[in-house]
Formats: sequence, structure tokens, C-alpha cells
Amino acid sequence: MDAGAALASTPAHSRQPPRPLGVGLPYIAELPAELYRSGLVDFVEVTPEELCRELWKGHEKTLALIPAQLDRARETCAGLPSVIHGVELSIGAPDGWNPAYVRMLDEFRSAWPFRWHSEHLGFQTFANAEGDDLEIGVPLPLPCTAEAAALVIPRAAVLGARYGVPFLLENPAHYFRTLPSDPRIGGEVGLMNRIVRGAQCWQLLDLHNLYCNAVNFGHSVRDLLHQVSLDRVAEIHVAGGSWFNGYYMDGHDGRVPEALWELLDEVLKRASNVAGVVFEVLSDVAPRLGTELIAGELERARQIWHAHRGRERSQASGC
Amino acid sequence: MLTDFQRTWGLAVRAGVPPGRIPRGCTVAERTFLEGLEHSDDFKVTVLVQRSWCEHRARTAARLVLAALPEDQSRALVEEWVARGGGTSSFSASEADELLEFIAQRLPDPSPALTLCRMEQAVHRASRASATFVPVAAAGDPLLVRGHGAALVHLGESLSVLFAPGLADLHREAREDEVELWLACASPVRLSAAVAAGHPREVVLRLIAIGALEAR
Repeated sequence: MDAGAALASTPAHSRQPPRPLGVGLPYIAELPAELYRSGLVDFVEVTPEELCRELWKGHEKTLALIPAQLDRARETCAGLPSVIHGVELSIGAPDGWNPAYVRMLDEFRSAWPFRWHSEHLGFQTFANAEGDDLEIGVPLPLPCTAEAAALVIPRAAVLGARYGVPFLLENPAHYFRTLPSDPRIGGEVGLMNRIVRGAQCWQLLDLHNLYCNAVNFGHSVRDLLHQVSLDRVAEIHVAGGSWFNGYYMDGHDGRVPEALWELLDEVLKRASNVAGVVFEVLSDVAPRLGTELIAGELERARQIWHAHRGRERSQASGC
Repeated sequence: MLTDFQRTWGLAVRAGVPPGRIPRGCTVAERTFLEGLEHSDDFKVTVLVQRSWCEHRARTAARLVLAALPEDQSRALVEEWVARGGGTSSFSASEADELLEFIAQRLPDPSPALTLCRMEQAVHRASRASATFVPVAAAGDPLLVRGHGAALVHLGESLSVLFAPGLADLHREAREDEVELWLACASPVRLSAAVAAGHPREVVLRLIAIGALEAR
């Protein structure tokens, strides 16, 4: 299906901004269920691959949901609205995205409907000269070219049509200060703007990723923000990071930097279609950080959210 | 061209070395970028991040035995595995069997560490196989082979543990006649030949029912 056909068959409501939910937290099996029922969490962001095992049927890879883990996740989240944040799609892979991920998400949707669906703008797989799919081991960003935009736009449009809920793309953090670029695209922000407009999808604005890239490449994060099509931003991520070999890493391993809270405040002032803010933390790190620190970060996000959105607009009741 | 560019870049990060040859299909901007990786700190740090992620996945996949080994040995094994291209799959369990075999080949035999390694490998195999396991009754005179999700681990002379995808807890103590049959099936054998060699038919059928043996 090409972008035009996909857009024609996309339900109109998936092209509308999602209804506001409030402040969310990733589902992390290692965290106590009480945190999700504490009133600090309005919705849960699920990475469905974490509830799967990879199986091979001959040469075909499948991602099989593990029923016990899915049941436990649903029980922990106790009726909170859910959104999907995938990592395995590889939407920018030159030889095609990961079909096993899409098949799994079809199954997941039947078991646990979601309000919107997001993925990372990048690629982590490619086919070698023999045609075998290889995993790189880390996601890489796309070059800022018209060819890359043309690759992703129809795929993003197809995903919007397939699930009938808004599809969001996240701006990535990476460590390459100069990517191949077309002047007519205008850098990474320009690439994202072109794709979300072309596919009529939305942006998940990861403020920490934008902040990492700005710090590492010597840019002004506010200058970058001014280029973002804020009317197309439907979700925001905040997170903490750490330094390694002279680079600021998108580690999801600590408190949100103070500068990021200020940016969140500024963006929420101007981006009227934002439906949720998620504090991201790595599942391996979460138990070490502890629920008290995580609850504190959620409380801070809630203060900023409610300052701009008010409690009456959140619709956190039931899926 | 995007395909050539991404393949060349992906291979370089995966291998940890800048590309030696730039495909003709790359645009000028793509070529300039790829050529610049040779002296790029950005590339070096990305490779370090990739290595770190891959090592983390390997440590997760072989958590038990790696934790039981001296830190230097554990680190060296993980680094060698990653240098050979391991750890790139987000689903670390997918690589666990192969990684644990790699580790097992480098441990003294016999040794407590090797026993731990085989135990961990057996749990992984049985767990993965249990996701798709369907009991199949033997018909006729099938060829008996060890189940792909099964293993037998000896813990000293008096205790052997059988791992199989059809067991409720994926493992239980193996009975003596089961151990003998398992050993006899080191290479494929006809059911009739196994029975003729003195292995009770009901033991054969029991091991087939739990996936310890497969009837082909």
C-alpha cells in the first residue's frame, strides 16, 4: 500500500490529535504495582516486545506474546489507559521493516487496545549482500535526505491506517554530529517535520534526545525546538542521562535535568496537541533508582502538566 | 543511494571498524560521511555504545554461569562473544543456547562451572521449546532422537536432572531407566531397536510425551 492509498483508508480520528491522558510511566515489570495505582500515573506506556519471546518457524521469525507476562502487565496497570512505544519495528530499514513486530502488534491490540502507537525514527536492521537480515545492535538515525523521507512516509501512513489510532514517530538520540543531508530537508528536525506532514502522523518529541544531541553537537536546544512543528507533537518524553567518554548519553538512568523541566514547561505552553508526558527510565535501572525518586519525577511532571492542561482535560479513566 | 549507505554504515558499526570500500551507489554526501568515519570520535563512541549494549545482552542471556565465574574470565568470554558478532539481538534469550555452548566449550570438563553452564543452557532450551510444544504420540516404528528442547544434566553420580518442554516445571529428577534411554539416543535409533536393546517401551513413550525424545 502506498502513502496515498494508506491515507485514503485511514480513519479520520487517527489523524486527529489523541485525547489528553496526562502523565505516564513505562510498564516495568520490576517496579511495584502500587506505583501504577498511586494516582501519580494517568496512563502506561507499553513496549510490547518486552512481553514477547522470539521464535523461528523455519526461516520466519515470530514474536510470540507470553500470556503470563501479558496478564501480569494488565493486572499491574489495573485499567489504566495504555499506549504503545515500540522499539523493534526498524521503520527506516532499507529492505523493509520488521514484519514480525507488526504481526505481534496485531495480536497485542486484540488483547490490550491502545490509544496511540509510537516508534523510533531510525533503523537497526539491514540485509547483507546475501539477503540475510542483520541486526546492528544499536539503532542508528536516518540521513536527512528526501530519499529517507520518501522511504518512511508511506510506512508511517500504513501504520496509521492499520491500527486506526494516531501513529507517532520519536526523534532519536545519537552521537553523529554530521549526518548526510539534503539542504532542502533542513537537518533532522526538518526530516521529522517532512515525514509527519507527509504521513499525516504525529511526533513523539523526546526532549531528552533533543537535549542530548544539542549538548553533544554544540547546538542550542531552543533553536532546535523553534524548528519543530509543535502543532504535530502529540507526546513528550523526559528522562535522565549520564556522561561517557565526553558524550552526554541518553541513558534513562537518573533524574531529569533541571533544564529539561524548563523546556517541558515551555513546550507545553506552545504545543496544544500534546496528549501525554512520559518519564522514561530503563527497566534495569528502575529498581536501583527506587520508587521514591521515580514518584518524585512523576510528581514534578504532573505539576507542569496541570499548570498548562488543567485536571479537567485529562481523561485517564479506563481503556 | 539509501540502501547502500545504510548497509555500509550498519556493517561498520556492527564490526566496529570504518568501511574499507564505499559502494558506488552512495551519493556524494553519503560518501563523505562514510569516509569521515575513519577518524571520527562520533563513530568510536557509537561503537563503544553498541559493544556495551551487546555485552549487556550477553550477560543477561548467560546470567548464572557468568556470575559464577571469576570476573576476568567472565569479561573475557563476553568480549570474545561480542567480538564474534554476538549480542546484537534485542532478544537475548534467542542467542542464549549458542552463547552457553560457546562458554561450555571453554570451561574445564568436568567442573562445577561447566555443570552450571549446562544447567542454564538446559533451562533456556526447555523454556523456549515449551512455547510451541505439542505432545505427539509415536506411531509405527519411528526414529528416536533427543528432543531439541531437552537435556540431561548430571549432578554427581547419584542425581541426574531431566529438562524437557512438556514437564510442568520444565525439569525433574531423571529415573535410572530414563538416563539409560537418553544415553542410548545419543545418535538416532529406531523404537524397535531401542526396545530390543532392553529399554522398556513405556519409558520410550513417556519421554516422547514430554518432548525429551522426538519420534520421527
